[in-house]
Amino acid sequence: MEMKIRETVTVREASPSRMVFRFGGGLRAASSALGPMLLLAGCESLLDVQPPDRVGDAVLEDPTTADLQVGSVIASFECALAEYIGTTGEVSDEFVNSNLRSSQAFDFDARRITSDQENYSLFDCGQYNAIYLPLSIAISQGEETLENLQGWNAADVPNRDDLIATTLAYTAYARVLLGESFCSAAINLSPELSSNAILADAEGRFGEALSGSMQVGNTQIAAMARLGRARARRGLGDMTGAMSDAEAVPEGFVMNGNYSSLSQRSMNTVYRTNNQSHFESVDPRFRELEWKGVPDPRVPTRNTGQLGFGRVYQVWEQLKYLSLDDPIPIATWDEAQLIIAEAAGGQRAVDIINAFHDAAGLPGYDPATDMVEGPTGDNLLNMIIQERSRELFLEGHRFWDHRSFEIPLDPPPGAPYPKGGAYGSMRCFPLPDVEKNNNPNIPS
Amino acid sequence: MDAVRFTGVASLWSSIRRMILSENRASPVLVLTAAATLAAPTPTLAQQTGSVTGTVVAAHDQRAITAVQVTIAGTSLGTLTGADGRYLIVGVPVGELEVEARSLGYGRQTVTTTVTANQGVTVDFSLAVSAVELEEIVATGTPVAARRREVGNAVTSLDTEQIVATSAVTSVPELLNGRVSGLVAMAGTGVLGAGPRLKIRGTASLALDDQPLIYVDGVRVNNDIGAGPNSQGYGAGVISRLGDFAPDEIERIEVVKGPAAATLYGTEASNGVIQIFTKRGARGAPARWSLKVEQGANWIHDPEGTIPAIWGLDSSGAIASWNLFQRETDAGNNVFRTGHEQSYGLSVTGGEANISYFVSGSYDTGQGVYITNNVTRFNGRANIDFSPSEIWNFGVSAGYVRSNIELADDIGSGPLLSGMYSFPSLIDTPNRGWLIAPPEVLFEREQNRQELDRFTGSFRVQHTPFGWLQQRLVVGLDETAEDNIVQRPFLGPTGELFYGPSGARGGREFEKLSATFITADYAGTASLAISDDLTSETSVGLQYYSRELRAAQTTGQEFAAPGLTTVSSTARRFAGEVFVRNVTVGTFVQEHIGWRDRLFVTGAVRVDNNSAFGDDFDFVAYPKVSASWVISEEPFWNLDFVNSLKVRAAFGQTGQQPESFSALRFFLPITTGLGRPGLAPSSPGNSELAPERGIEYEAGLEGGFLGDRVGIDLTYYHQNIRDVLLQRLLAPSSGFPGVQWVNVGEVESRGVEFSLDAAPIRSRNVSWDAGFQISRNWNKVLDLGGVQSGTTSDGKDYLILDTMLDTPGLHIRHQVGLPPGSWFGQKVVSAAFDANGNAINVMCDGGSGRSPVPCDQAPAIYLGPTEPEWHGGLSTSLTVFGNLTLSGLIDFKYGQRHGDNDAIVRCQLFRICRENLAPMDYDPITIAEYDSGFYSSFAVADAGFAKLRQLSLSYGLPRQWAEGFGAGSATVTLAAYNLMTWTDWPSLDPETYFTEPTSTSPLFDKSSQSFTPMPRRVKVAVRVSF
Repeated sequence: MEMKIRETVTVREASPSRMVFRFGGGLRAASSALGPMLLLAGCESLLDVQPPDRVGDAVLEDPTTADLQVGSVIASFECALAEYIGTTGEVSDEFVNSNLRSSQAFDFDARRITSDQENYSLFDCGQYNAIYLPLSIAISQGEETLENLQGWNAADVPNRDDLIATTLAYTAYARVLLGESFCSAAINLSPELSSNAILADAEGRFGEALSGSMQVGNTQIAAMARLGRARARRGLGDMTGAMSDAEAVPEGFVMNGNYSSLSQRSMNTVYRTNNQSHFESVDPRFRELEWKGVPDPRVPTRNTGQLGFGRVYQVWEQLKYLSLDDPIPIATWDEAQLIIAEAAGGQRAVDIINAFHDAAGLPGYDPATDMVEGPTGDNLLNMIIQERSRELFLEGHRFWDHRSFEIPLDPPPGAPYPKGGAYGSMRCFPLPDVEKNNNPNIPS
Repeated sequence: MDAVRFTGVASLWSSIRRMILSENRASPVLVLTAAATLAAPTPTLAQQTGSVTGTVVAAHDQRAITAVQVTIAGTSLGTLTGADGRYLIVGVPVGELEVEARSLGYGRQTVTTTVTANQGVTVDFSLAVSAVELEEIVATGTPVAARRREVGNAVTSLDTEQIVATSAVTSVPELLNGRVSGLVAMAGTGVLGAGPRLKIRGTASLALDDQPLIYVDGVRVNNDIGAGPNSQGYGAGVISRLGDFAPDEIERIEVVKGPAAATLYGTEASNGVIQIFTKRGARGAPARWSLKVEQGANWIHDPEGTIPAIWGLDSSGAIASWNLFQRETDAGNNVFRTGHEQSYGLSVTGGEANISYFVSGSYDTGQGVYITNNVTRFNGRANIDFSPSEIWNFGVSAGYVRSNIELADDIGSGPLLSGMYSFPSLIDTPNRGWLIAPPEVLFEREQNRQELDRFTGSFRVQHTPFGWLQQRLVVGLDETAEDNIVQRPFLGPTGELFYGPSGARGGREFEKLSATFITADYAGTASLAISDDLTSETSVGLQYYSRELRAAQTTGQEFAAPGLTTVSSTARRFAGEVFVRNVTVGTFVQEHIGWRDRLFVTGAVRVDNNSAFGDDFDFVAYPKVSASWVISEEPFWNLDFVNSLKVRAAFGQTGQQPESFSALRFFLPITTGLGRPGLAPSSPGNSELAPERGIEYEAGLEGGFLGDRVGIDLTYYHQNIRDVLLQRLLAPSSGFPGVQWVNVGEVESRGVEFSLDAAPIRSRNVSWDAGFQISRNWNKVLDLGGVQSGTTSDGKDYLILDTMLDTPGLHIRHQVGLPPGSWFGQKVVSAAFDANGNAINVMCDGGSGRSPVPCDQAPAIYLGPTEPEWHGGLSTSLTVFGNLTLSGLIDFKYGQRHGDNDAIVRCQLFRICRENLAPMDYDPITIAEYDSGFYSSFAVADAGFAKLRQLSLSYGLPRQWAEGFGAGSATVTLAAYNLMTWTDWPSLDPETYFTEPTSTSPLFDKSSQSFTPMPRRVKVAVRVSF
């Protein structure tokens, strides 16, 4: 730099012509300074960096992606369902937590989830103990897809009405699960909604799905919507309406959720967390179940002989789902039959139960002699609750029975939890703080 | 033209002839470089020239000084002195000219001489010691190289060559540690091959990367500090890309520390800038060869005595302990080993009339303290400068690194975790007490490796068409190709005992990652003498920076049989790709005014656009103003004991761009349950996303006192970082997972940096130099912009970042008014024992000014910061008889508190501490926290420390001895590292922590969890110059 200054001095002492040239050069230098500025103004193309692994709004506005979008809504629901089964299974009595150390995971097992906790509110598909976010995504993604579908016409999307009905049915199912598990929740940034409000919303959506699917002749979606509405109505206490819908479900109907080991998100999470990861173990109350001394094949389990990472429980595996790819039933004729049994009671209920027993190779049930412990004073109703827990083991129904029939909490609230602290008394998940604090329609 | 070409051919032949005939003085690159002269006609070659030679010695003892820069004023000719202090510059134009000698630590000296054609002239120098050298050239943060006297902001310059020569450091992070005020370099693990996290002037960002930009010869390079396979558990690598560069290739390192100094680097520079200048040859200097051979060893000091035992009840029910490491040692199965390190290097530097070169190669191989920890690295570099005329100067820099780093696991599958966190019930099992598996199985099971190829190259053109106009263009590339591998072999029945049937079949994770950094940097400066007293420099610049990362990741689980090693031979396979790209385009204008060469004022503005900005955000402008005043040169100055004094002040801004693609709303492709493609919501985007804006002013002084024997550099800085990016949680019902980036926060960082260099003794036979630098940083969150987890009872917003080990009573949070990433938790303050040793009447701190309350009603209270508040270093060297030098470095970091996860896991979760078995021997408060399972404030411990980082003895062989085996000089150095630690830290090493965010630990998590402590090391280095 010093040398440079010396050179500058040299120039200054040069001839007048050199002086002129110097200033001329200065102007030239000044004008060249504008070059970079102009280049900067024209650099937009340099800065246009598009990610090759992500999909923006423009793609979703393209009607040729309609099938893709609806398939995505179904996938989101299926993921949410698998997560729901594992998560609610721990809070009720299908699973115990056998993991090493995760107090928030213990809190599911100990029934002491509080609204400030992250796992149940922010964990997504593929993570352990997710529930609120996967269900919310399934609903919201469904709503956005519906909006797109409704904005197109049949010329754009030939199977548009069928896709609308399908999307309605799946988003309604997500609402049912949300309503059954949360004390209150929000849907698409709505104000806080009670369980009943959410289930009522689901009922309405199922109605739309049912009429739409019948119009296009999609009997599978129609049956799914009908049974879903029966489930929602049962949740709302409308057993007559529930039975009416359940009776219309075709015999042998099954609508499965599909799973794939190709990605963590698409895996059968029940199998992954119990059989593969040993984060969960089958609860002692669902191990080696029998009916009148005969093993009940509907609740297949086995003792691995290994202590879980938490070194408290031995890990018992469920054997209903045998791989990461095994499907999980969303809605079945069996579920419909149990709704009918609960609604009708009497001999019709007994017949339904014994039909299940015949199919499973179990001795029959006689309400006069076979006394079943349960939360109600009604022996038959207790038997129906027990049948549902077995027939629909790990299908996402036990939590609502726990909640709606107030099945006694065992161990009771306040009893020491083996891995620290005490058992709580929760029967439904609270509205998460993260929803309360960030939803503009819920006053803080 | 033909005549010129003829001259070029003659020069080429001359060069080749010299190379063939001379006694090893010829350059191996002469053929190439001389060939280049053919392609570029050089009229100057036809000029009549002579040569300048001489010796540079220290004035106080008349001993030779190495690596003094000797230049011919007004030309680009120059060279460095050899170990014997001698220099030779050829091709010097005839006539009267000035020869200048300068070296860090000495005053500059200029001698006028006359060169005659084909004759040599001798110019000797005798340089006086100077602790402050205002004529030193710095190049970082300025459009063109500037003298230190002109620069209005703090710049730290490290004389790397000198440090390497006397202390034999082996990595760039090691060079920086303890030697740069304001820069904290803290290694996370003692595993060989790992590098530290760097932090300059505190925390600027609350959620973005905090690493400074790294430049090599003007080219922005990969500054990743978490590279490599996951070896630290939960998804973190530990390799620092800064560690790729060989210190022997480096001439000096400059560090600018904040927005005031880094404005011209614009967006991305708010964490500071570190610029590495590699060695270059000197025109007209004869070839000088240097050879280096090093042998060393490293080991864990007394592992059996320092790693805690596990406690439990023996078969008789008595309290007993089992030291698993001692048991293995007693059985002849050492868990740790003494690693052997070797390093070999060869370099040559020199130049011809218009070409200079530096070529080097080095090979390093080292063993860590585990058998699974090995490093080999080859570094090659060729720097060639070509000056066809005084108008044009071309420079090419090419560096290549090839390395293979085998990383031992720290936590997860590391032996420290299995040996420290275990249960007595496992003693008489195949585990021999180790939690997961015995050490030999752990080593066989987990093999992490990174194979690296890295090229860093640049092409520089300097054009000086007129004396008053200078332009330069630097175009460069830094290409990193990593193969990151986690290999878990098929273990068979033995492995099944520990990992189950599936785990014992092993697997492989294989990532091919390439990172490409491209730099194009133009700057032009016009100099103008407005009057005798007033000078002006006007600079404009344009920069383009591109950073692109591509990774292909494959994972396979369960090999079918032993011996299979590829992903394709596993039963279950997964694949993925990662793509990240970020582009910055910026321009600046700067005006620099000088008055009587002692007062300088600079004003600049930089305008940037970046690909990560939101669509609705156009560009950002960063202004800068600085002033420097060499007040000691004013006529009124009459303080004799002050030899030089510069006062300076600067104001400037820089930014930090958002993460790539975070402004975009998008869905991610997924696999549906039917195995078909689907989409899932991923990011809500933010079209208004802007960079964080760092605004800083700093003021300081640099002075030389007491005959320039004492130099002081003092700086005060104050940063406000606005528009700080935070991840606002989304209401889950919105349908998008997680978070949205928003510019809402504000952070303040201020501090004082002080360094002192002194040469108290300078005599013919004894020289003593000492350096001390210390920095104090005050860092606090000013605003979270509503992105918060809650508000304290006194109205302070806070954002919880992480709950430690899922222990609700301990977490890290950003809280307004406190340092970013502070520890918080409920703190037990009183308890008593019942008759059985159970803690009762447990009360917790009730918060500021409040009485203790039952712990379930207690607020989380502030437990301390995670980052050091004080840090610095003390270095000294004592030289006797001119050739025996004892030097040492102590570095220290204080004020930070780290999470002792070892204590949480051992005493609270696993209950294998003695306190768990004999509680009444201990404080009931401690027992209450252990027993609670929740309140873990006991684990937040003082992690302050001072370390005797390096102690070395260097002996320069007498010249006649060296010449006895044909060398010009030879030095033997014995160095030792990490010899002592002074700390109150309760676990293994206060320096260890998660250096990189993981799936469970955020950026601010400063927890230590069974990490490998820093090993002690010794090394013998022999350096010979020919």
